[in-house]
Amino acid sequence: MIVLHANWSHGSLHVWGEDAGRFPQAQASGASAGTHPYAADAASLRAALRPALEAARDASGGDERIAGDDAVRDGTLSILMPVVERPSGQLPMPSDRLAAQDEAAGFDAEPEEALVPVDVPAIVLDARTAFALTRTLDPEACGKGMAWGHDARWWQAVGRFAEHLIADQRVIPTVVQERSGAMFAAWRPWLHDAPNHARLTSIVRGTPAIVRAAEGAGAAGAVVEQSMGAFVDATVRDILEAESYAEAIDGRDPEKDPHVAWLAGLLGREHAVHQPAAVESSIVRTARQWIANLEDVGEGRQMRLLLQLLEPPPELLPSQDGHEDDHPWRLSFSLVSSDSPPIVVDAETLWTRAAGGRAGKGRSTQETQQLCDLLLQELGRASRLCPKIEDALDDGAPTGLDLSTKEAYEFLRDMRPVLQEAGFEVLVPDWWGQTASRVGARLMIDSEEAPAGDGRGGGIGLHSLVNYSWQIALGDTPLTLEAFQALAKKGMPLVRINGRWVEIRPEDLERGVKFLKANAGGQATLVEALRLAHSDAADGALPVVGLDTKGWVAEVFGPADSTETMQLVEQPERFQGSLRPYQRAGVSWLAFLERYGMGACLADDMGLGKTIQLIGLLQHERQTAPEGERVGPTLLVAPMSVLGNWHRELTRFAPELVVHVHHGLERPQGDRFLHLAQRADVVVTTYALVTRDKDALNQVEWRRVVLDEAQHIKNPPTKQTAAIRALRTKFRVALTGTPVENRLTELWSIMEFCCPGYLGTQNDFRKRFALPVERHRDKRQAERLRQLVRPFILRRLKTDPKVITDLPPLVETRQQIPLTPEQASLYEQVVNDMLKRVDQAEGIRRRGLVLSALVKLKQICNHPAHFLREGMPQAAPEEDEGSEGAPGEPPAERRITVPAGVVRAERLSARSGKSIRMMEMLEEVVASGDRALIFTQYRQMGHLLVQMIRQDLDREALFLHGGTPQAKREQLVQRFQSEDPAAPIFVLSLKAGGVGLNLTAANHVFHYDRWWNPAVENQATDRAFRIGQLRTVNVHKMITVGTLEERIDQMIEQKTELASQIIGSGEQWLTELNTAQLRDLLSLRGASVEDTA
Amino acid sequence: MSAEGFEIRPPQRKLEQPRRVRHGIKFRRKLGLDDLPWHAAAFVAACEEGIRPDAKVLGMEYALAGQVANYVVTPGAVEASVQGRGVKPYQVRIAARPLSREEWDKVIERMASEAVFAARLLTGEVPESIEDCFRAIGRRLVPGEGDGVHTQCDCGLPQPCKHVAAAAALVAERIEVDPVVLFQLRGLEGERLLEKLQEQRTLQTSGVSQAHAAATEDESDSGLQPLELCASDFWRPGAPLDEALAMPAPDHVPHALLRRMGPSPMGGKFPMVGLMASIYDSIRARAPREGGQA
Repeated sequence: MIVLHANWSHGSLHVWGEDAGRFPQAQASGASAGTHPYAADAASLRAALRPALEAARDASGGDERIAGDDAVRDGTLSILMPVVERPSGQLPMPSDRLAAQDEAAGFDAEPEEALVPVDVPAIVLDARTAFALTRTLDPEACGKGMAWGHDARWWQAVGRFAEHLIADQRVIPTVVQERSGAMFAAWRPWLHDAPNHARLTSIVRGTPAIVRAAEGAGAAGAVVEQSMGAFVDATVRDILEAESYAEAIDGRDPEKDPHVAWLAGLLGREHAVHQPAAVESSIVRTARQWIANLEDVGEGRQMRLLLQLLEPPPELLPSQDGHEDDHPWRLSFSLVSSDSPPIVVDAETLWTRAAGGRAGKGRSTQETQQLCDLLLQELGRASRLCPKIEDALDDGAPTGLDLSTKEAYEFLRDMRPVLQEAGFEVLVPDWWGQTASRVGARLMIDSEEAPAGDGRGGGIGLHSLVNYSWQIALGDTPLTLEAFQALAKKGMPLVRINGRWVEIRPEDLERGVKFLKANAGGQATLVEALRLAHSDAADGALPVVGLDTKGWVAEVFGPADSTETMQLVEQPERFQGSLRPYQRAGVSWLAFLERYGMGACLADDMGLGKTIQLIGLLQHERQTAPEGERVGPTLLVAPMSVLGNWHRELTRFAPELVVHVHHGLERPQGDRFLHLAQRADVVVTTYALVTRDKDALNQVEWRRVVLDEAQHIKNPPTKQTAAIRALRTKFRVALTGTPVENRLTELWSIMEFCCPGYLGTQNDFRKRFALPVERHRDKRQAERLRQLVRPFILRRLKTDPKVITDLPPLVETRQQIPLTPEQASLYEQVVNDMLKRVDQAEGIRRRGLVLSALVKLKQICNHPAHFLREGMPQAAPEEDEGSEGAPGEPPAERRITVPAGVVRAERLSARSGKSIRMMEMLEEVVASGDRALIFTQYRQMGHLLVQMIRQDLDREALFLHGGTPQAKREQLVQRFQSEDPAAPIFVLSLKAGGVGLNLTAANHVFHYDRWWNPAVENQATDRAFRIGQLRTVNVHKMITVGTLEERIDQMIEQKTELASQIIGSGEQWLTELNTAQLRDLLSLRGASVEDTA
Repeated sequence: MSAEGFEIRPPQRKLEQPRRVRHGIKFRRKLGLDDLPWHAAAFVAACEEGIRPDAKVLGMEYALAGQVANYVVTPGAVEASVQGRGVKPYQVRIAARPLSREEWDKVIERMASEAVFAARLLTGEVPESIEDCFRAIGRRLVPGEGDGVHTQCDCGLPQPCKHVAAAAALVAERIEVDPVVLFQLRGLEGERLLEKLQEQRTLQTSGVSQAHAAATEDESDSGLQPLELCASDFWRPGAPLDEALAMPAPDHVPHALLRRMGPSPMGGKFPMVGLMASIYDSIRARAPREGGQA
């Protein structure tokens, strides 16, 4: 595995890498001065980089020059790097990405304060190749033996910024003079204007240190400007060369004409510019003067020119409809201050005051005169961009300008944006720019009246047939073809219809007529019709300006927000507990969509109770079903790690429901399964089993398929996804806690499950939404997509005002988690080993045996690697706060091993049920912008958690344990409390972090392993749940099913007599139990072992 | 006037009104000396320090009437001929101490560190903060504060006289539109000022001078930690990058930059702006986009 990094140095991009395979060796032997001991050599760099370069070339239309022989060469790079002191020398710190690799597991060291120069082999790319690479690379790409360092994401941002600037024509020709006097022409990005400058500043401020650390790089801003400069120059020259622009100056004499002299260095491969002998003033200076016009945007001025376009007063127009120049438009001049609220002085007042004040004296007159001068000066500047304004300047005291309708249109469309860019305030009527003010097509979807609300979904849905028809509309006013053609004939760009101004673009007219003739209307499935309504205005088509719906379709897709208008269902009678109002709203919403045969995605924040809302739905539909009618079974697909939770919650809140957990080696198949499923209300199973047992599952006509943690159906489509989509079902519900609307590939997968076909094929979706929104930041497509999915996604946040008043300050949940096969195997061995030997021992030795077994079992429940002491920092003896194994005991890992046949998961986190669930939940926490504390009793477990968080979430977790020095502790606490978005997770050892600290920035507290004394746990919870906490704190207790953890938890919950002993004496009481009692308490129970799926 | 220097002159006939001057330079500012930009106002104030109110009023009348036949600005002084009531025009001299070469080098080095000075001077503005660059070496650009002017006139009246006031008014009027005059007075050739500034800017950057200003500030302003303090947070981009990634693209405005730049000031005959318009169209049409050349 090679971790690749990129650095700008001496004008070109250098790619270098860390070779994970060489890290363990390097760690042992240290470094010789100045060279990087585990840097990848040139050959492995080229091999690792090849796929990315090929992808870059393909994405650039197969341009052979990209990554061609001349474009890529070997080199070296000197970088200032953090190092750790080792007896054998200085070892460069592994990058965060390398530290997440298995080869670096257990590496844990603080870098020295000083950075040290280190040489690495590098591949040097020319500007064209570097640009193609940065804008196409996938920073998360991993595979074929390579991964990108975190700096790649920054380079991607730089590359895409340059790409956008070029496409948006934000580049300028410029000229540079070296000290020797030689001049060179160059194309450069123009970065001074507000929105682009803000983006530049954010990129600069987000620069990782490594980018600045290469020799020959310079400051962060310089790296961005130079690299983008090189990208822009290379790209523009390629474009100009492709169109043979150099021919434009053929035969012209650069010695006579400065333009020709400059262009000679701009149009082709030639950069050099020669000062024409016949021209006195320096080209650099006059070019500077020209470009300086761009800098003049009235920044820092007290008052700025305000141009306000006013429509002709309606009362002066002869009729409601019309377009003739009955009365002119008015462009009025004012000055506006930069205060807030701004002070506006219109020109008329100004001139009157100046004229009247001339007789008087005093400061105010001077000020007025100054303002008049400013007005004239600014009008002069504006007239350069909008020549029409010059007309007004003939008047000594200009106050405004009359415009014809055509001129007004020109002003609105062409002048306004440039004037605004140049620092003028421009106010235009608010209808301008609204889709509703444009000519376009409106789609009408006509359907039957809404079906009776019996909740049975009478055969309607996304795939039922509806009638649709097209209309030409100006804004929201439909027009007949004749009326439209009549308007078209008059050729006015702005037209009044029903008293409102509407824009008719000349190109729209022709399209409109063509369109109407071609698209009368017809019948289609609802999903097809809706797709028409949201289609793009392709060439030759009209923009779709609106959708009208009639009948039941209007209930779901009408303008009203269905969550506001739908009827709220009552809490089901049999629900054991009480649904909060927002939860009832959730149940109602699910029932509402199903009434129309629609799927739904409930995406509430973690902790808001998606599970019980679904349970409420199951009960609601049974309660409202007609007498004697049986409601069919729901198939619930969930990750293995939450199966236990579902089972428990179903039994707790809806004990009357018949639940079949389809899981475990003994699970029924064939007819037996069919029989069970048909009798059940809910069948619960895992994602893995949907693929494996698809034959069994497909025998059943499900009433509903529910996907929990629906983000699990990922792209690209797998066998698993295909099996899930193939399930025969009437309704589909997806549950997820991640902000699905912001993750477009996930969004498509989930919507494709809930509403098949609604968002089109994955490729369509990528082209229409994912690319424009994610790569080109297209606001309109983002909004359109939001509108499109709005009816089907309900996401409420803990901070929503409607929810927040409903929530208690502290919500505690237990996560019931199965062991993995590896864990179960170890667990059983330890129990058996102990029981065998405990019989033959007595007194202190017996106690020792029991206590040591207890520690081992707790470790196994945590993670096999915890028990087996894998990936420990060498030396570092375990400083666990629980009791240690008895002295004289041979280390457990020598006796207990994982038997052959038990498949050990590849990923570190996948080896433990708890850590699987932990990572799933943390992903939601992080995706929602929440912050979490994780408490464990064991320092080693803390290290493992940090490593898993690094691997699975690509985050650095903060970690505080008994060995953390005081200064560092304070720093960690402060960093977490400052809500640093880069540090949302804080791992703490219970003893070191359980008391005293104030960590109110957290709103989730995880207890990874259990302490028998609830008071100690509560004390830890109180780090977050204390004065200063403004949000609900969610406490999650992780408990492995069927183990001693679960049994002791039950005892404490049920407040048994034994429980008081437990709480009183810690773990001592265990040692008093006889062998039979021990067996009963410790041995592994139930079919909770995770399948090797 | 000393005894030795006393000389007998033919009696001069003084008129009630000053003699009219043909093609004299007339003061045209409507507001008189009110509302001058700070640097022009400060120049007048320096010239008129201690002036009698009547001399000031008469000086303005002279200026309005065009009694100043001509004036020149040389390094170190303004020299003017002002026609009074005498036969011959009086010779007025407003002297200011020029900066030495070394002093100019130091000032320009300071000015070059901020792009704003060059840009403002080009548009005729003189930012007040420019004086900081001069104060740093104990000098001033605009006369005043111990680095003022010395006025002379051969009319024999107490200084500053109305002739000085008339000349000062005209110079102030000129300074308002062409601040380079101030630099000339302090001994720097106006033409060379911007060149010098540009040259100097280059020395401070990569050894080149360029026709466009850099868009980023110094590292200290970007909010980044100095590299030496980054050892423990070395590899990951900071949170502002996510802000950058979340910013929506601004709407496209065709040819926005070209329109804002306006006509080229180079004076070339080749239709540069027209060709640039066509180039910008090609750039947009062929800009690299995902999936190849569009």
